[in-house]
Amino acid sequence: MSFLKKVGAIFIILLLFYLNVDSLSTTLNLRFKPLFPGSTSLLPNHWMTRQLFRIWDVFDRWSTFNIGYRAYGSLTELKTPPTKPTADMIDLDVYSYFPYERGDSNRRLGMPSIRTRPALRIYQKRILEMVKREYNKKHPEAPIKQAILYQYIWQKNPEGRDFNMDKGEIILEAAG
Amino acid sequence: MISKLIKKLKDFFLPEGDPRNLGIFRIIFGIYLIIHLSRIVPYVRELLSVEGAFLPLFDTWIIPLDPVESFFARLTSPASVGAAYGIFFTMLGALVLFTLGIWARFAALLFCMTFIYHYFIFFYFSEASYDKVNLIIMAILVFSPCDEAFSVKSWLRRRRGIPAKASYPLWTQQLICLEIAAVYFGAGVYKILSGAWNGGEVIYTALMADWSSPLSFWLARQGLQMGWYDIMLLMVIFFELTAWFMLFNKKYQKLWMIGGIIFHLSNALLLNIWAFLNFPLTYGLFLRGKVDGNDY
Repeated sequence: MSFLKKVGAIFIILLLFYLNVDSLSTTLNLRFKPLFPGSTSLLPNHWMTRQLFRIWDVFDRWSTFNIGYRAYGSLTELKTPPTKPTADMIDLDVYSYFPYERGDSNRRLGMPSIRTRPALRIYQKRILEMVKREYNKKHPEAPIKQAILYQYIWQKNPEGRDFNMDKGEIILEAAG
Repeated sequence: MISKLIKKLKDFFLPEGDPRNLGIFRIIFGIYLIIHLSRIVPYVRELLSVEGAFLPLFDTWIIPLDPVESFFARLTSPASVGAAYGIFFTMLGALVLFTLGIWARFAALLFCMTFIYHYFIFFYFSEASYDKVNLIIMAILVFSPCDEAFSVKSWLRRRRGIPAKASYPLWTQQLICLEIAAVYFGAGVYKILSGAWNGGEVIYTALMADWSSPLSFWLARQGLQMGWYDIMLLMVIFFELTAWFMLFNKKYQKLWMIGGIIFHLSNALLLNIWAFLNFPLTYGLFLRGKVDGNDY
């Protein structure tokens, strides 16, 4: 290997080491203090690269409750969407619009990482517009006028994922 | 003494040798990525284009942007339906070239560039660790001799009667190994310090969560004492913490790898997380024999 290539290789090795150490030190709640003024973490780094190397914190919490979503279609335009789905609403099977397992789809529907931002509501409206458009394409004889997204929170049960789903809390998320 | 240390460090971080393991890894990693990403094909319009339910991470009304973010914001603004299909199939095409070993390093770079678009417009939603690992591995492979064995390139070279080099720089192979070991180690340390992992409840409740498979619910119904889940938790943490030295230990690495395959397979079967099988795919890179010929 030429000298220049060796220098390049050593640089990349050190960079990877640096990024791993920084990412680990800032995500373990060890209260590392910044080494340099103006830095938000132990080592100076951009949050994007820190986030990229933040890989280990899978299943960082546990709960005895499940969270899920259902989208319903209404054949009439509702001025105020009901706080809970009604019997005349059509289940739009919102999960079928995502090519993933339920857990992954839930993150895409509820986006826990940005829940406080108004962007979530706009994004959920986009989902509802998409679901409504696709449903109406398949059912031109009875198109829905409005799609409404509800969040469900219910007690986990070994009998199945959706066991007693309707017996928990239902929250109106968005209408579009 | 110092020269011995430098030599040891050099041998560890900048090894040279046979690129065949890297060649095999290129093929299986490429196939894995094609399978992993192909399932999105029917959803490109709905999830990756301006006509669907998009939400790019870098949008001025989500977060204030710094210069780096502004650059990525321009690069990853939602594309039209045609362009979205174009970018997606460019990514898949790059993977096919990479797997076959045709301009594999360029294909790896092309994959990284197109994957970044998809990451910031779509994949970041789930913050999926396996997708981050895939991107890091592929970025390292851009600098690697992964196309020097079991590739169209090496086949053409053999046909022309050009012998392969006696050995190739394998620092990239070692770097992938170090990254994988670092991830396992980080996961182990994280679990020790995380309040969530101080008891078997984290495993028991995960068996009934939104990731769980029917097998997982069946296991939850068996009514095992919580102590069994505590033991499972200790095994997971021990397994992850020992990775960084066991994987490099010639005596025990194969035994550890069997444990690793069982661990990731049970994750896949119980929690439906098949994408994490990219970790066992890298195990072959930890096994490095001596150069025994250059007919690859």
